[in-house]
Amino acid sequence: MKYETIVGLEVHVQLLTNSKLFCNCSTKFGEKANTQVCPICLGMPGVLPVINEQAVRLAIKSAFALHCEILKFTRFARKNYFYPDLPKNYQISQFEEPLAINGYLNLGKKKIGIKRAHLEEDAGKLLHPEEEAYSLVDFNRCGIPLLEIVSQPELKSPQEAEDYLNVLKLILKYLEVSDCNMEEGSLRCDANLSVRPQGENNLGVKTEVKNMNSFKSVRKALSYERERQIKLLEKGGKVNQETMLWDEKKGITLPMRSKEESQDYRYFPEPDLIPLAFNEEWLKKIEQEVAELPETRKKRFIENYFLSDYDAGVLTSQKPLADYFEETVSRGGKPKLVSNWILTELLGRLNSRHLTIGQSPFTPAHLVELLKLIEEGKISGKIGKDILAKVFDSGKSPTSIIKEEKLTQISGNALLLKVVVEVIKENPKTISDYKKGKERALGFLVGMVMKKTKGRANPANVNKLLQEEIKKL
Amino acid sequence: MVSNVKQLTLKKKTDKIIFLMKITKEDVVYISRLAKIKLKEEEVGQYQKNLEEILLYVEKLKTLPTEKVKETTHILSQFTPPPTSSPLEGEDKGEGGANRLRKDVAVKGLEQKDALSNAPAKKDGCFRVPKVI
Repeated sequence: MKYETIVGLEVHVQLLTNSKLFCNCSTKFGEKANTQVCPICLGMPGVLPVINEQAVRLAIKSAFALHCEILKFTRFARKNYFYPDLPKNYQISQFEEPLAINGYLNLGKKKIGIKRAHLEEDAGKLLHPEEEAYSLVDFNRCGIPLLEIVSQPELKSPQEAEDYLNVLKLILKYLEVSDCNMEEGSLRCDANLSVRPQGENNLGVKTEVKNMNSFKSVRKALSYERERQIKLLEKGGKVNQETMLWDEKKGITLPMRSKEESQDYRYFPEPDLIPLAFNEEWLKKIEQEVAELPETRKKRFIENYFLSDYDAGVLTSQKPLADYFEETVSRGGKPKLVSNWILTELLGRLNSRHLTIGQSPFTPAHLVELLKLIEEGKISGKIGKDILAKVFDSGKSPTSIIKEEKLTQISGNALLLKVVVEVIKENPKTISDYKKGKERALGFLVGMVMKKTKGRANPANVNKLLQEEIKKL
Repeated sequence: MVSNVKQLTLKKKTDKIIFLMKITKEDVVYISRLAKIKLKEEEVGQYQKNLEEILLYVEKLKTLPTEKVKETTHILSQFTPPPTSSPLEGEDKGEGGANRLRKDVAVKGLEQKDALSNAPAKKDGCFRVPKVI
């Protein structure tokens, strides 16, 4: 029998704020345990939470980008449960009136529905030292703002789930709403998966799959879980509605130890917080900030700058990178050349130094200057690459480096002729090969001249001179 | 949710229908488990009675004419309607109703030793709790 797979994803992303959602504690990653805590996030008696404006703004920005309807009136709710990572014994989340509903995300030509997006606070971090009878709690993470984004069950395969995550990450990173780093926990994903015989209208029983730590492992876990469910059904069995944990090492999903009681969170409106009501003007302002998403910008790059699909895709994968490109072009760089230099020379260098484009010592102004020097024939393309490296290391301008190192192209033929004659004298065998019709021998000679001039000669010029001189022999 | 809601309809003078929730012993045990409270056998019976009294009182409240009263989940919503101009820029306009926000500024909180000073058990700068996994 053929089966159809149905997946829905619940994604939590950490919003890029300086302080926590309901108190002023820092959100910086990797600090010493319990050094970013205060009476509010430790849940001490009598304290009152106050909502972080930036978290609300970032959440709304994301909601706009996901084409959601933003509710004019939204409020927080208490989700009650006991667990050591939750000092108040409730999590402040949203329930009946989430911030945003009914959005979608474009996956190629397909639209994947977004059911809801809401704000909530993160819990603390639990550590379980091996072979010890205790767990340790670090509350630095407790209270950090999260945006929970729930998709409709409209993803039809594990691969589609992975694609959805990639697109979502691209959008959220692009908006600078979250850095979406799954390893550092700033993006987490739980998945619901069910299968049903092809043509069946009712949904099958779903399981929730947790504990995936990369997009790839989301796909792998879902593929495994799909096969597990199908095998179970084929044998005449039934799928239990339960939570499965992905074991990355073994490559299997295992049922989570069932809790004593079913989840009963007893949500109710958070009495310590006033509801939020957004006015049109403010929402419009935020909407304008998300006017151009990566998808649209990529299209524009292809149409306006005649870039290839691939190049435009890479350039628009990060907002600062796309900005860098456009700034260089606006300063007079030729789009195709600018794109080539960024993609082939600059990005690799940045990566190897672990720098972001924003931290690049080689600025759009430098690139424009460099391209102009090449265009005017003052330096060769090869020297240009060396200069880029030197600007990168020293921060000096291309022109000053050329002056300091006397790197301008040898344009006077007298000097070049001297080197050409020298090379011809030194390579009698190659000359005779060339005369016998071995065209490639000339390339070798050009290379020798370039080497002697440390790349400062114009190769076309060298070629011409060599041919003339050889004829004279 | 309370698992078995029994609906009893009682005719009152006001002709209002009252739904009476019956609390069973199982409900009490379930609620105590959610609240992580251990109850003795005789306490279960006691709380069963207490909870039923509370629910009966709530039913009585429900007979009040509240058609014209706005739903109140927060007391401040009663006084000021949600504002039409945006106070969302971080400054405190002193209005009630909605939108009390703060600027996103990180401030140093407690020192680690102070944060842990009330903890019954601690280790390596962390709160120590019984193993939960």
